Amino acid sequence: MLGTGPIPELLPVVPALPFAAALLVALVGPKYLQGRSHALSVAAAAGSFLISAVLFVELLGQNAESRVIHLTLWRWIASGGFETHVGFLFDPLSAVMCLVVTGVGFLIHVYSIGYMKDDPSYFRFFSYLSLFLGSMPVLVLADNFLLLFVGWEGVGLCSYLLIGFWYEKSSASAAGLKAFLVNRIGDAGFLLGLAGLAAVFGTLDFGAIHKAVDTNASVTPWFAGTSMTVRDCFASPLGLGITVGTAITLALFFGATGKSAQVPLYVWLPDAMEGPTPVSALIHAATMVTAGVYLLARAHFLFALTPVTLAVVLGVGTLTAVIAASIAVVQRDIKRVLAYSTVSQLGFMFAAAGTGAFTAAIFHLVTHAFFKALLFLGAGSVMHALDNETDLFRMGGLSKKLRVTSLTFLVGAAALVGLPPFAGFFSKDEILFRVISTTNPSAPWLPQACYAVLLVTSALTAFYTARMVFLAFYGTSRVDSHVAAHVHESPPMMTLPLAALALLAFVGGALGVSGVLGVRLHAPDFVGRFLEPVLGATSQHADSEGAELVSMAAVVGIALVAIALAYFLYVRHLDAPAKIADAFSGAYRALSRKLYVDEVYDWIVVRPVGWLSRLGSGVDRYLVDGIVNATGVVAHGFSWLLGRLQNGDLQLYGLVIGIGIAVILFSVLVR
Amino acid sequence: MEAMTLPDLRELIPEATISISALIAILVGALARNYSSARRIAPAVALIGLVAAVPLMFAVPHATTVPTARFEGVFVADAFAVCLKLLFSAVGVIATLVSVNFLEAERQANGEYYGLLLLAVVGMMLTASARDVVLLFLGLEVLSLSTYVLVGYLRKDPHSTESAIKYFLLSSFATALLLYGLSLLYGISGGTSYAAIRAAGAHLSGDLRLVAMLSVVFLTAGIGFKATLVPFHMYAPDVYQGAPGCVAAFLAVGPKLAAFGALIRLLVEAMPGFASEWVPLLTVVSILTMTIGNLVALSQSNVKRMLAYSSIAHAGYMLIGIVAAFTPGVTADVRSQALAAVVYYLVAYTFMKMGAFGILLSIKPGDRFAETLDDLRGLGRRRPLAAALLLVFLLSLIGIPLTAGFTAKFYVFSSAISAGCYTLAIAGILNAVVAATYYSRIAIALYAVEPGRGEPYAAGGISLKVALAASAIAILLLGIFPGRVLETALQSVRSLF
Amino acid sequence: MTSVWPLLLYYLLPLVGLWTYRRGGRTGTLAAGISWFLAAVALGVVIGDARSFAVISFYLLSLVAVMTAFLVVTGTNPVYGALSLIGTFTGIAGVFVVLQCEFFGIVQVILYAGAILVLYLFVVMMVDLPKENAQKRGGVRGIAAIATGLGLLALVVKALAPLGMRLQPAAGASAEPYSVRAVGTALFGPYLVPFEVASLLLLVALVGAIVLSGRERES
Repeated sequence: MLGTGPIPELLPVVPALPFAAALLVALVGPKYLQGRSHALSVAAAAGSFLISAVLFVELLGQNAESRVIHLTLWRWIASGGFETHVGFLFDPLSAVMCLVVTGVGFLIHVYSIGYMKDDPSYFRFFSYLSLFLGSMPVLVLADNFLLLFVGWEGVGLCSYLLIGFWYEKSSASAAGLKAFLVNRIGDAGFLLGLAGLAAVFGTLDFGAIHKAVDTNASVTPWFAGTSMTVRDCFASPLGLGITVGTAITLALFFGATGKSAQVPLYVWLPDAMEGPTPVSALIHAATMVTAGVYLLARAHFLFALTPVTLAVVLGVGTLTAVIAASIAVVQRDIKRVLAYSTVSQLGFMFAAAGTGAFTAAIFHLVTHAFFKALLFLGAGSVMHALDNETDLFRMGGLSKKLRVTSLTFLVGAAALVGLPPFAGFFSKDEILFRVISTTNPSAPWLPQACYAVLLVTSALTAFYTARMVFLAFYGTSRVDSHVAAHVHESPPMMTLPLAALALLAFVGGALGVSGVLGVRLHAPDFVGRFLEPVLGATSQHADSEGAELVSMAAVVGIALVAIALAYFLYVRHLDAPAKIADAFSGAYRALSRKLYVDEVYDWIVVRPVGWLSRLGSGVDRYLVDGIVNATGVVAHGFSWLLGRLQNGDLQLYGLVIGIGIAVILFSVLVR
Repeated sequence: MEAMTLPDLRELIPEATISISALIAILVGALARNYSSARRIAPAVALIGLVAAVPLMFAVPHATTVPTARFEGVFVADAFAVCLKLLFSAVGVIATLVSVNFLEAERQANGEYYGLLLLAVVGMMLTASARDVVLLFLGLEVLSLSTYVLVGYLRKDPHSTESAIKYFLLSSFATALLLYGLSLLYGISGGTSYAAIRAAGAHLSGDLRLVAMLSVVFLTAGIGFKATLVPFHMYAPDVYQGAPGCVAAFLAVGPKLAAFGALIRLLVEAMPGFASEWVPLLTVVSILTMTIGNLVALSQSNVKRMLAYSSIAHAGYMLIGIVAAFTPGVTADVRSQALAAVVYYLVAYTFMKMGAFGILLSIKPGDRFAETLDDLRGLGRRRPLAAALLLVFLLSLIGIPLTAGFTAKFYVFSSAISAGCYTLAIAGILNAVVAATYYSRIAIALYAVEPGRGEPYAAGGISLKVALAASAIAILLLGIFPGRVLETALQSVRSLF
Repeated sequence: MTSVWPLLLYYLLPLVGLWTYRRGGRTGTLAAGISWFLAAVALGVVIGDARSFAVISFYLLSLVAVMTAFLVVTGTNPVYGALSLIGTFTGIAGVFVVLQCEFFGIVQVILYAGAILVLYLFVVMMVDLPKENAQKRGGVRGIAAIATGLGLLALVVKALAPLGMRLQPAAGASAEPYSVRAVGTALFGPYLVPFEVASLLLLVALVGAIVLSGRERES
């Protein structure tokens, strides 16, 4: 084992390179680099990717069981029995994540050179992008939950900065704020989960907790005072029929729903499309939003103990998938279609995680990173050609003028729909079959119901994808005439990453062919085997070959029907959709208003908090007004001052103190 | 008549040093022929005094190794006191550094200013060392009296004068309440030292227990006023807003630190027997303090005022740790960790809050220093460094990881959970979410596109820049390498038991 | 528990004062206060908790202090206010004497009633303060304040009542009376540090007064 060689020391370099680039670009960018700002960032991204690749090769060279590179840097937080280090862990799971993040990240950096070319804040963009590319490896390489949380917040910060990148647009600033706040709500759950874990295990190290769970070691949780085994502790009731283990894992999952845009916290992601398109591709499709899935995979040993949470994860994932897919069907904005599609696909990943099939979830995460980044970059390329037009109904017939873009977009779309042999087919099929073949003791009916819903979602996915492709690239052109004159293919800096991603989306599925296809085609399940030491073995469910084949055929068949329907509606009879929308105006309006979720949140959360705040500051508001009005009359300062004193604000404050004491005394003395 | 020996006064040397430099600063102010010769000497004297006191704290052998009760227990310089005094020195240094620029801009005579500032620091130090309610009271009064004058230092500014009068009157009210509580305590124990109170508290009859409760409530009111606990908080926003900017920075930190230091020592050394009276009371107060502070901060558009409400909320978070420490039935380990978390929180809070107030003094759109959100709009473009520093302070106040604010919250919340106070922990975490909203409003204003006003922003002096940069660095260091400080805090707290 | 009633009556004094002051002015207030007080003491005596001369003197003297303090707060003429304050201080001095702290009693008279109040009066005379306008009282806030005050009063009485109206040494206090010597020994013995800190407090007050009132020095 080479673990003692220079290799572990390379780990911190993966995040350090982009961080250094971010700092340098921020410092010298505005004055010296200007239009050359990308050089440092792209070089850092390439360096990070290369180092990840080197480490990955190193990992492959070892025995399957000992595939771990671990480096502890320094003791970070220690208090009493609790200790946390800053340390990095490179095992198969983080290796896969790290490769995807740095690889896709690198491609998107290259793409951005062309896309952001004339932006006045060119250097700022690359500085933020590098900051993100440094934070994300911290998230996936962390060897404990707390450092993971650091990366988690770091990518969040970059996400808000980049969503609000064009802050002169007020919608962009508002979207950044929304993303920030919604994520903070999720983070509160995450923090509670962390606190619970720390209180039970006395550590937040993945390794230590995993070991304690595996060996069912005895721990001394906060509520008991005595020591008990992990399983007993997790099974102890906490009230309301919830056990300790369920509470902790639910809290962690709640954190994941924030970052990964699941019900009920998905509302920020569609608005996040206000950011530049490469950002949408990198952060809001390929990498950051999948952090929640990664978190669940990382903590799979905890979730495995709590079937109730798994059932919730499955249900939430499925619900998100279908809601987002149905909203995507009526969106006019190409980026919003893709955003809802991302939410929906993340729902698939969570559904997989909810059945305990974490390998399938991660595999779908990888293929999704490829094809969704590709689709976003393709959309960006279209916008580039059309003067930032995003309305699908002002496109059409672009395939002739944008050959590379349309071809690669088609590959991405096929992968998203899940047509064989594109990457999405393998990963989505795996998820669907996992859902139907699982059993959950706490909700036996759930997997079947979810399977049915996910089938419908597949059809919706095929429909909205085909609708998007047909509207943008085929049929008659509805482009504004003055824009149509100079529609042009994007420069090679943008098309090359498209081609690279298209290749990955095309062949990426071959990495994880499993199940019946794996057996029949004698294809090795690279991803599954590679992740096995971390996530556990994938059962080769060969005994249900028939069922699996039927399921597969059903999925593809439904998808083809949906595509045909989309072709009929959006190429042949473009006036038909409007008629249908008229016929079902209520449903259409609800869907196009995103099922009124924003409005509902506004009423049940935002406004009451506002009321409370105003209620609390009623006295203050009066005072503020007084002070503001009074600044004009400084000349009368002293008399005004006396007047105010006698008006009794002071006495009011004194009175409040008195009432406070009286209430406290009453509660203390009279009982 | 028996021979009287004077007690050994060596442990008072740090306080004496600072008091003497206060006198020198005042004399410099009085004797200097003109304004310009005094304006640099006085702050220099103040800084020398504060810095010189630090090695002197360690030079005197103190009670970490051998617990001694000097002055019959009136005054003690154990590790806890020294730890707090180090922090108080830092508060004094930062307050001095941020004041230089402000006083020059306002063209104020400054000898007395620095003298009073130093005396306020001495008052804080005395409360940290007090083992007798008389000394505790006097220390708090030295602190209060100095701050009344500092708040009203800008005599031509009616806001400053108004704030001073408000602060003075309400604070006197609170002092009276504190004194009543202390007198009841004396009544039931017959002594003023913490040891006597502790001894009496160990075996109280039912009747006296009622009196003890009464006393606890009044002490909470008196100390809670200084610590801005709800419902004794209402003065804080008015006073911070009206006070000169540099005084607001001190006021938001100094009295609060002193109050929490005193509260910890009082609870540990004098009133451990009254824990069952304190804990439910402080639990409710803590939740109210966090929630009201954060909720009202949401609707503020004046940043000074917003920061004032935020400092109220932070007092609530700190109280969580104290409640956790004294929840009946916790182990000694959990107790000292919870108290160490509070001390750590105090350290983190000092830098982030003084930094945030300090930034406002480096920005001058028009003829007065920045106060409202509009004043900060577009700062990111005009003064990128100041905006970045403020961003660091805001991130820490929100509690983003790798900043001191996160680590502090983490320690406090996790100690609450290990003590079994989930309600508090959950309330704290929910509050942290709400709080993120208004801090991010400031952050967003910083990077908004339209600068609020056309006039150029004044740059702060070198001393202000040093103070702000040092605070920001301290916040990051505390966030990345919190171990050292927490370890020190833990040791210092253990010296109490 | 029987002692609640006299104690309650005693603590209700200021309120009676307020009521009579509204109706009948200063003299009425004093008369009502005294009779009310006597009723309280009488009740106490009848109930049998308070017998000694010291107890009666204590309540009598504190009555003086409370009633005059009330006049200070409610009066509109600053000179009358200052004079009433002398009454308060004298009353407190008397309480000290009753509690066998003669030294403090004397200090109280000399310092407060003598020096400080004379200073007050000088200031009042010199700056020629106008007679304060009568303030509007009452309203919702006034009612709330009265209710709060009464509530607080009831609660404090509830907590203190079980101890009765007797005067007794605090739990661990030495029975030895305070002599000048004892005070001196305490000040330079255990209380040396507080004593020194008190001087610091005076220094702060001095400097503060100069800062807030002195001539502005600018460049």
